[in-house]
Amino acid sequence: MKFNESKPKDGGSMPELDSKFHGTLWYKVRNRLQPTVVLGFVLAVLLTYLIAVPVFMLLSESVTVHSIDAKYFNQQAGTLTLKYFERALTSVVSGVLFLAPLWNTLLIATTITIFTTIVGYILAWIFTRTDLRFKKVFSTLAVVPFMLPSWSYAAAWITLFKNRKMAGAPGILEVMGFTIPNYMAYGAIPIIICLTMHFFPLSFLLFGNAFQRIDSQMEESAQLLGANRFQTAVHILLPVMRPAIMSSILLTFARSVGTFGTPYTLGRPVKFNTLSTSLYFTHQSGEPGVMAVIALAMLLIGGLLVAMDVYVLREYKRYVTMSGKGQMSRPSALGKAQIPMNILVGLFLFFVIFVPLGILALSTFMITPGWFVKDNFTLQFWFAKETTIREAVPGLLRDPHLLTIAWTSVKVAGIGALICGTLGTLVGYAVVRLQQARLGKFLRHLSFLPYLVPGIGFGAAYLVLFATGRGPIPALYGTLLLMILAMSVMYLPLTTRASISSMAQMGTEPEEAAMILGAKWSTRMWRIVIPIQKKSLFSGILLAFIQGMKELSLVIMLAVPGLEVLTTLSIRYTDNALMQMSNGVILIIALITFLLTVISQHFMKTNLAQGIGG
Amino acid sequence: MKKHVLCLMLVTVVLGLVSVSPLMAAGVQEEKKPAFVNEPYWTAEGYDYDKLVAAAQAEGSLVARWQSGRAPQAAKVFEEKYGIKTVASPRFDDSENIERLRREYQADNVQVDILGMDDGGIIMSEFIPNNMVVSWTPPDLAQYIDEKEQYPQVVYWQPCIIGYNSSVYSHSPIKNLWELTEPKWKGKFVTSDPQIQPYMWHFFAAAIDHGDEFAAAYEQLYGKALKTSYKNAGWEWVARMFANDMIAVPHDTEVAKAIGSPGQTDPPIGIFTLTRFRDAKEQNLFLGFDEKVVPAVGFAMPTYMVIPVKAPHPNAARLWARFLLTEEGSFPWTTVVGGFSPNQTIMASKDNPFTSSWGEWLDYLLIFDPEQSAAVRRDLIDMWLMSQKK
Repeated sequence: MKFNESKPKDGGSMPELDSKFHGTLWYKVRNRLQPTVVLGFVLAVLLTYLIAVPVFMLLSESVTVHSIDAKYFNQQAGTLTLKYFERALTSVVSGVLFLAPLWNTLLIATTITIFTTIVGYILAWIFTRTDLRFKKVFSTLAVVPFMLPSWSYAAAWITLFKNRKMAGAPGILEVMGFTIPNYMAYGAIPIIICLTMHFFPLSFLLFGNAFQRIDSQMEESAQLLGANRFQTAVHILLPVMRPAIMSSILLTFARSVGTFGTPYTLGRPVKFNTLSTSLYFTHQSGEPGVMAVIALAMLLIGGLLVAMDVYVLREYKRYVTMSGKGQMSRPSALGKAQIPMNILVGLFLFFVIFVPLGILALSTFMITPGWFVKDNFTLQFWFAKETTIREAVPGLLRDPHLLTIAWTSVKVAGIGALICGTLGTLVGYAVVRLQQARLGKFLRHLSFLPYLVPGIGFGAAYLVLFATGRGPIPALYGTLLLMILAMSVMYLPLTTRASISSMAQMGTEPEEAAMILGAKWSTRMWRIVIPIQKKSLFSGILLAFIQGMKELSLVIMLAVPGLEVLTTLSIRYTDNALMQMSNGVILIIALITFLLTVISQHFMKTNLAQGIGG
Repeated sequence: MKKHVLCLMLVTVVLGLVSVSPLMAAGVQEEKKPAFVNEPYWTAEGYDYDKLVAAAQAEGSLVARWQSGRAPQAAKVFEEKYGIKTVASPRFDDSENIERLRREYQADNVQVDILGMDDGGIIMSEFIPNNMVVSWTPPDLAQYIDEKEQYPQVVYWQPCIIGYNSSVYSHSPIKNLWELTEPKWKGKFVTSDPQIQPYMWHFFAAAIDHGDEFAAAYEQLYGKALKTSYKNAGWEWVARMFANDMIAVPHDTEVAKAIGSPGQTDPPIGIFTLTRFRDAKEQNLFLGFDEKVVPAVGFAMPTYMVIPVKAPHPNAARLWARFLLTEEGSFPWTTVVGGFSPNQTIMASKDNPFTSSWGEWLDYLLIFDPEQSAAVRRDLIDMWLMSQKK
């Protein structure tokens, strides 16, 4: 256990400098009750109830007879069965239902992960390590794709590339006279492109954060010793970036496995199914047992990823980049490359942000999207007292409930993110500082679990878990609090990962120094750890907030009348085929998220993307 | 160190058991008779409208989850008339409605008083047998409602019809549904995806249920009797349709668009609700249909309303159910194209194409039996999945 040896030998996080009690029983008890240990145990119990139990409930559904099947199986609801596994794995329909979707999922997730990691890494490097101009504007913009619900890219793609294979009006490009082959209109390629555009900001943020904490003296030393830029990048940066790279791979891959809207829109017309679409169809056509089997498969894929992550990051100590010494970050000059680089970054952002957003915005002004005739343009979806398309549906801005709904969204996502951030920092601290390595590992993996569980299953489990009071825990179903709680747990992986990787880079030196000066645990936490971690904590909270604003599958089970949020509003318009209104709500979500992000960044004097250390 | 892991595992197991045990309890509860007491004034014998109103007003509020976006319109009038605070959540699709109710039952915390949903199969095969919901027909209105439409109680009907592009074709390009199974229409029949809109299973179930009519239609078209390895001609037709590369889209508005969009030279045929004729004008769609297609031009699609046995406001729920079956309450659906009330005294919109008499429509549409539909659902799903192989 090399890991343990690298830590102080006696219990708790730090050697207490109080030798009076050394060797006595009291000392031992006190050591056991180190704040970190207590914290670790409290967190373990809390997360077990909030994460392990719901997940366990969800998975148990794959082996118990559901009430819908009771009559058909001739078994009582609740009895054990393997029929659902048989159906998914060995029946005549297993190929369509499970095996082909499994293969497709792995294919797209792997490709997307590779692309986003490369794009995110390069972009983060340019933003943190060079003197690129307009950095602030660019880096604020670079996060925007993340603020859009994932299906918005698919919607934009379809509007542009739809070909005549599918009945109905073709997309804009076909109208202009191009012939779009099927593989460009639907299936794996468009899905990969759309999701890469959507997910790269996550990698970008992770890398950005990590780069900020790497002392550029390291690179400079390497260069002084004669290494060229390429060698520095490969031999110095790449190794210390390993935790961030692993985080990026893990988060992107898991997200790609779970994502639904894009494969649904772009894959369905060519019968390209993924696990998530298959999960949705089994949900829709009333096969909850098979749905649980698919959820289990998604969880297993995630489990394998986590195992890989554990293997690669066996020793945190090696990645400590922040010591007690001062550090500096000096951007290298782009020189002649300045203008081309600006154009390149600008163009890239233009294509991933303004083109899709523009297409979406345009669609809200057209009765039949993509049909460029004067009569087809309208303002009714925004301003009409009653739309002509559907009676009794007012334009978005005339809807008296819009403000309330938007406020609920902000409340749920905002409070959820704050709880999520606090919890995440505590977990991160406990994981890195706990001497009880197993407890640390338990916390680390448990807190990542929600990321691997399909939101709809998680929501369903929460509904059951909190629908009645259990012991000291009151019935929360039907309250705003449950939505907030579910959300703060759902996004815990984001804040925990951010916190773990930045805690891992922060050596024990700053804390040890404080301890020598006699600072208590709480003081150290408040005065040393939190200020140093402030920026990564803030970006974790902001990430959770952004995710929360666009969360759909989780809240669809928990939103009760009077507690609707923007995304459920959007999906209700989609269900009624009012795509223009649905797209309008997406734009409202993006706008609110963007404004709040910018304002809070200004308030916090940091920038989610670039400002850290800048 | 091992101890910690053990401890943690123990805690996990205990917590898991604690939280799952009520689920088991809920499972047992389903076995015994529910604590559901029939109020005397709900029954045909003791029906008393005034008592119902008084009891509903005493309850004070009502929560309804409805599949249609128009429920709030009715809710507004209902609230004004009876002074009962009404939240009618619109656009609850069936899967959401069903899953929610299941979970609320599992946890014994039902938060809804009445559901408006399309999937009669689930109601008949799961909800009613498990004593989760009841179907209720207002005794004073029962005389105006066909008995077959009372169990479960239909709240409104929509014809779902097979239509064509009326700017390309001056009359229906098909006269017989068997023509759709021919190569000519391969990849050119559009439908709502039954995996997304489960009500479409009812259409195929109805075809199976009316196998004899499909056999007759086959003979009429090809001049010889059908030989099939399936159970009947209805199954054979469904199998051939699935094999003929149907295009499945998420919603029937998209079906209507695919068929009726202007500027097409070779438009497809497809099945959609009559309601789509309402959007046709604004969206410049050319839609037409021929009710004389054999064996039927489509099917009659009902929306049902059921009341959870453990509804918190059972009286208000019944008052609402009754309200929707009167002229005052049914207006959001019956005063526009495509909606028909099961209450024969309520007139449908005069703007309906073909006829505004529901009785007449029924002669041209397939009627399905929710129980039969539930029974064949699994085989249909499997057949559909097999056709989805690339």
